[in-house]
Amino acid sequence: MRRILSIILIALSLPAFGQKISLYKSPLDSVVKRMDALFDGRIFFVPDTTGNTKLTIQVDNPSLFVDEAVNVLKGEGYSVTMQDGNMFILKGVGISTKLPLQYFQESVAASSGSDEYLDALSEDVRIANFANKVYEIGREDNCKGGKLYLSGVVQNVRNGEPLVGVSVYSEEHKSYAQTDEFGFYKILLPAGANKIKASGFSLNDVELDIRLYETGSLDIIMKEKVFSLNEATVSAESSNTRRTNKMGVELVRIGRIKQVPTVMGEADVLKVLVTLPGVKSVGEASGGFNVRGGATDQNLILFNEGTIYNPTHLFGLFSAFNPDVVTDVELYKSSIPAEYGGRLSSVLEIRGREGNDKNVTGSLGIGLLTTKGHIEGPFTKSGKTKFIVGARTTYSDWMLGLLPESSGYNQGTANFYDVNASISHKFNEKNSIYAYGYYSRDKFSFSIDTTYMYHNINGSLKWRSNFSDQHSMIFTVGYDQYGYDVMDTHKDVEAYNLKFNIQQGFAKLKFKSVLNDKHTLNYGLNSIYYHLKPGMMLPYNIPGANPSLVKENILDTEEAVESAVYVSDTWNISDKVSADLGVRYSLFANLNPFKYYGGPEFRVSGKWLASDRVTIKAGFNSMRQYIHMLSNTTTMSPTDIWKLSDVDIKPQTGWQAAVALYSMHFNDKVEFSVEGYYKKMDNYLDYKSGSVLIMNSNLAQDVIETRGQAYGAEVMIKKPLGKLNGWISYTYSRTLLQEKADRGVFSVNGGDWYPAAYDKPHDVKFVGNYKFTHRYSLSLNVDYSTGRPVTVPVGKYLYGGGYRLYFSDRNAYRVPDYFRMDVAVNIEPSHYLKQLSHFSVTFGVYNVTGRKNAYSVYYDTNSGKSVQGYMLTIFGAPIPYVNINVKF
Amino acid sequence: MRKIIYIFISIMTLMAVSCVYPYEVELKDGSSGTVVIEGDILCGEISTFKVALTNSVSDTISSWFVVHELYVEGENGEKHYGRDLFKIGYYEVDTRNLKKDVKYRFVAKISKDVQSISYARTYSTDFMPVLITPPIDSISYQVSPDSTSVSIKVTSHDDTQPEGYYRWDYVEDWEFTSSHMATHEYDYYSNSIREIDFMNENRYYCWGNNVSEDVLLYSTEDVGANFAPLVTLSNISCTDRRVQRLYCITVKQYYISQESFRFWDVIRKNENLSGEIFAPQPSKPQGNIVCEENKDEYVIGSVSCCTVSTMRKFITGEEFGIYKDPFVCNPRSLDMGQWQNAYMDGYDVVTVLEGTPPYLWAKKGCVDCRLYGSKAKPIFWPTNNK
Repeated sequence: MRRILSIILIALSLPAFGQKISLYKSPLDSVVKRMDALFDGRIFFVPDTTGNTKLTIQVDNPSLFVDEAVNVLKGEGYSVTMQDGNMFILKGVGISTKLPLQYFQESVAASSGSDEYLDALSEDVRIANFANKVYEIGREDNCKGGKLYLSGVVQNVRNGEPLVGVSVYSEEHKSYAQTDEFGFYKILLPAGANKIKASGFSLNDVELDIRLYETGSLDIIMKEKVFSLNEATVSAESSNTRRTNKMGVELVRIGRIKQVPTVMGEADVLKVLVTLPGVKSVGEASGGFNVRGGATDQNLILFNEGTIYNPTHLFGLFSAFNPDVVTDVELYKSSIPAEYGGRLSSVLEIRGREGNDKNVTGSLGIGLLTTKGHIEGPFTKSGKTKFIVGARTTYSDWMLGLLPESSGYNQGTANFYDVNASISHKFNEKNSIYAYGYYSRDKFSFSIDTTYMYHNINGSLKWRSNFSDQHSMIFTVGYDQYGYDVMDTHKDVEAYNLKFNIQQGFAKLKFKSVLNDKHTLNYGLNSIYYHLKPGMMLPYNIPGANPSLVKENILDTEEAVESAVYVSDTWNISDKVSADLGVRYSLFANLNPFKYYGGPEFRVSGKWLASDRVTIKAGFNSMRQYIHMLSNTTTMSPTDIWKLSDVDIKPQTGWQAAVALYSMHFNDKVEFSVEGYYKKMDNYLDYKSGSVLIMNSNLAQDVIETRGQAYGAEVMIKKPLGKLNGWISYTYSRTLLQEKADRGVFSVNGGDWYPAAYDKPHDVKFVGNYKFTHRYSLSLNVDYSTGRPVTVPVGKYLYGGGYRLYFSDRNAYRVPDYFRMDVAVNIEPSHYLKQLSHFSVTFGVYNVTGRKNAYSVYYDTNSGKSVQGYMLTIFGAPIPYVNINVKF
Repeated sequence: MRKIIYIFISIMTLMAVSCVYPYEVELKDGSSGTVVIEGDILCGEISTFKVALTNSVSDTISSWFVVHELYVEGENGEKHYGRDLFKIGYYEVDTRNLKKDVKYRFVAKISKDVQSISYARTYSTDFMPVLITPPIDSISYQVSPDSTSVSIKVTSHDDTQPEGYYRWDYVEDWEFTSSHMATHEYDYYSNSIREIDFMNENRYYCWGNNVSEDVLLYSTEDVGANFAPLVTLSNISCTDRRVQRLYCITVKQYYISQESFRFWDVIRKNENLSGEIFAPQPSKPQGNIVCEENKDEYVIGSVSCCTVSTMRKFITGEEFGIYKDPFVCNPRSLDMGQWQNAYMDGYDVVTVLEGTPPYLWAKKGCVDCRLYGSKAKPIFWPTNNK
């Protein structure tokens, strides 16, 4: 006998609780679903594959529903048997409850084994059954015509996880919806017969026949695609760009992330971003990334709603997110929804997975440097409460141990770990609660005397409620922390402990209201409380040595509140034209000393479907940023300082205007896009010559305010699906800064515009994957860009007894151009269904051509009169790797 | 932070991914010829100024320029003109009689355009008050725990000012000996050995001398008290001849302004850049000299106006107690037939043992101290050795 958990398929009308329930010609599974909600035990039934059973049940009080349903079922020729508080519904013959107890248990045990086998085999059958029906939503007699809402959750058939970013649409009626982070969609359709389609990246498309009589709900199940040549490919990625008003949004699923080859073979959530047009980094081992000419601190990085200040491990070699617990990453580089704010350039949302609601499963991965694992599953058989826990750690210490003793570093250590946990509970169809926790920690010391540590802590609680068909709400509260700690015990009298810490508590309340078929409103409130300890220099007394003479110095704590209220309207002006109109008002108050700033931000974007194949979009965004990262290094370093706006340091402001054209070719399999943008920034902080940023109580003196401008064009050809899939892009972009204050000859570069450190005008990127068979695929990644700007010595002079270097204007020269090619071969797990565990293996080579890309150049005057230039290369040779993953 | 990159490089080298390669950037034109002025108005001493132009990185020849006039001017109108030291760009100004309550400025008229030699530009500072440098409290030394090196440290404080920006430079002199006291000398051409007049011809006692190259600064900005304790001036390894017999350091202490401190600090930081992953970006030092005819002209140099405190300290090799001879100097006896070859191989005679040969020979470095210094004994030297 097959046990089916109740949530596979439902099609039922949704009257409010406490009222009378009336189901009209509902299929068996809908009825069972409704019974399950009202029945204490579990209900086992054999799904009705023919779809012929249509049950009509009407009761005045929900408490009578189960009894009435049993009667109706019996009337339709079903047998209903109770056993140990569970209900068994079978067509025809019932089950005997009088078998010997032992016999019964054995049979249950035996059948449960084959159930799993059948479950797996039958995914296709279930999808087919699901898709081959005609769904009647509501009662035909209640139908008043006009337009009605259909909503529901799109789930993965295998584990019941919600699928994010899936397009649900009706081509005929030009309506379109996209699933949110909970897999939830809501679409407006004309009453009567509709054909709706659901499609998502690497998912098989589903097409459904619907008779919509009343506003109601329909959950959709979809299956992950096994790539093959003859498959029909309608891509969600392309549908999305055509349908939504937003532009410059990049969604990358974990499947794609795992295909892209990386150093050491670690699937890397952040490194994959750099393969997208408009996203750059200053160098290979740098943790930060730059979006359309923005600085690294102008990206809002959200992991399950928590802000991540340092998203890297091992000084930028890896990103701090365990790929096993991530479902996708979404980067907004142009149209930023009004709900987000506080950063100038982009928003990166990293969404964690919710976990399997059917079985407890997990994975284990072993790479050259890290080992990781995760486990997920339901707490109860109903799958209403589920969890996912993941952890990752490194064993890179062995590499340090290999160093010769004379290097002085073989006693060094470098380790990190990160832990993720999330629990979600579904109270009922309308209310769910989610709890997330994240902790990452890095500690490295390359000699006995200096240790660097940093950590991220995030915790949040989220309540989601759809209080009616038109209105839904998400409320989140959380706490974020980032801090670092440097300990120097080089000399006893100079031993110190340097600490920096930023803590924030936040609350976010967002509402979505569908007013009518023309207008959907998103509105809400955000508030963040910052508590920042900008620097603590503490003497450190080494036991048994002279006491440290370092003077204790604790910089004043900074406190501030940033709040924002926003509203945005998605307005379908006509079938072909639509717009998103958003406004956000943010208010920031530094409490110590009191100083406030505030201002409106506008988020506007529009879309015109010029033809079936061509979409044109335009947008304007303005942003404000009240927290600044101060750095005089090229890359994000573990000792970078964050600073809140205060009396002296004004908030950064900026706007971006962009236009884009998308067109579809070759049967909609290939998408061509071109996007152009112009961006202005104001009050971006750059360092002053000779600035001291650490332990500086008067930072405003050591930084300069700049104005910035960035512009560029991004051209991309993308083939999201098929045997050969991937993209190629070319970007032309410039980012220029200018010091605002006129300090005459001391102004940076004499007050002229100068290129930012990440200004790399030309760049070509290729990411490709070719599936030979279901099991073997080849990935290729190519990256070319102009060398980044550097400041080099252009002269020398004798001063203070030695030769000193005379440096050029800031960023006046460039390192040689960058080129890299990586390849990887992925071997997918065997498809033997009964096998307990599935191995997947990835071999790859990073930087196949072994090109010695310059990370930076520097000069040495030690040799006296001659100055020798050197080029630092981080990965100057091919780096092979192998990664093994086990799923169970 | 530098360690991080070293380890990083080491790891990558281990993985056969070598990391540092020589590199030459192709420079754009117009990168030489910035005016560089070094020197301070030293109230109560003779001040030395040096004028130069920056060279391109690979050039060794200075660019052409002419100094028409160079002087220190008081706000009261007094002018002290510079005297050409006949060493290109070096000038000396007698500032021994400057008044401590008058503000002074530095002025130089320089032309650096071959086409119009007569057209000079004026490079000057603002009038600056004389900063009264406090005396040096002490010069001390600290031997490392493993006795492999010693650091020379200076301590100073000032009760009259709440904050102080200190700069130091120093001259080092040291007396040392060769490992062996050679009593004889070899003559290659006659292949003969003769006894020397030890008092006048010895190669045993020598003197070395050095001036500071590093930028030595200390700011009491973040300390809370105007106290500069045990600031390291120099680190000397145990195999360095400085710590062998008698070491002398003459330290000059200058009070500089905050702006000047920043200028020197940028120079110091630029020196320590190495292209590390987390290295700060280089920057241009901002001095206090302005070209009056063209305020947009960048000039390198920060001239301070202050009194000078000088302290000299002698430390004996016994006090350091860490010296280790860098060479193994075991003498061996050689026959006459081997002398010429041994001499060509870098050996020299040490002595003749009692009576007749064998003659003892050792490496030249063990016998002749002049390889590492000179016979020029400083005039103030306290020992009678020659």
